[in-house]
Amino acid sequence: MASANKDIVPVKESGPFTSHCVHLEAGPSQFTVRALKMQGSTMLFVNPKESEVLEELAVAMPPRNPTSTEPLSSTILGGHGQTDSSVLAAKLSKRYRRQFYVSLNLKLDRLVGPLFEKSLVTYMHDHLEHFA
Amino acid sequence: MTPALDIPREIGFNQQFSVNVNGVPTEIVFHGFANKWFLVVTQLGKIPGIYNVHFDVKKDERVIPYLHGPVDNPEFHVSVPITMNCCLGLDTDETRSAIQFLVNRTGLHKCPSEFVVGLGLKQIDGPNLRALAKVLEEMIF
Repeated sequence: MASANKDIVPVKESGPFTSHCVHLEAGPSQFTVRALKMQGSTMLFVNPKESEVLEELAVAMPPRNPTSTEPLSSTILGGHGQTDSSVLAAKLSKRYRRQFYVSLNLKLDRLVGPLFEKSLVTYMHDHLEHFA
Repeated sequence: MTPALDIPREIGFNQQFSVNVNGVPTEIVFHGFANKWFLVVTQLGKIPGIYNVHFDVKKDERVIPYLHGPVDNPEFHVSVPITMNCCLGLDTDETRSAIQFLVNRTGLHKCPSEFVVGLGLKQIDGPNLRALAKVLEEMIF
């Protein structure tokens, strides 16, 4: 259902940082993911394909305590408390045990939300070298 | 500034490159989103601090001081008026000064509304900032 388009942007090594851009589908919607992989952290920008903005930004990091699994997350730009960006950042941080910055600028509902997450997670799993 | 998405690009942003600034390896990322610009300049391999920078005057008005004379002449120096909010990391006068310097000296002051900058410089001083401004001006703006 969710699949990457043909116009996938190839990654280019640039020192310790790499970046990547891909257009994905979630049901009827298309969205763009831009990723910046840094040392120990990853930054994701997720937008509708037709219009890219930077409204929200959240950060999440895995706990230092090895017995704890719950990541810490915070919204640092455009929004207060728990936002879509901070929720996704926390999920990714928990999954990959890595600091994630996430700017999620999609209007998701209960139908498209799970499709979007499945599409993103599947792509990240299949192209892990760009993200973690 | 946002490019057409159907045009294949070799990198995931408008600009992303590694360059030596005064001999220090520096990672630079720039992207123009529809509502604000995004810039990362770091020599630390990560983003130690993020600032949201808002221009206090309209785009057409803020460049007047720039046109009136050399901004690096102390006698005529007028800074581009901006408001900085530290969103993440340590909020220091040195970092704020560096951002103000880069706004005065580079095309950052052409930003239509506001920009988000992640700045991680090992040493903030005149020579390093001038070298960085030169790189930004040549490679991005």
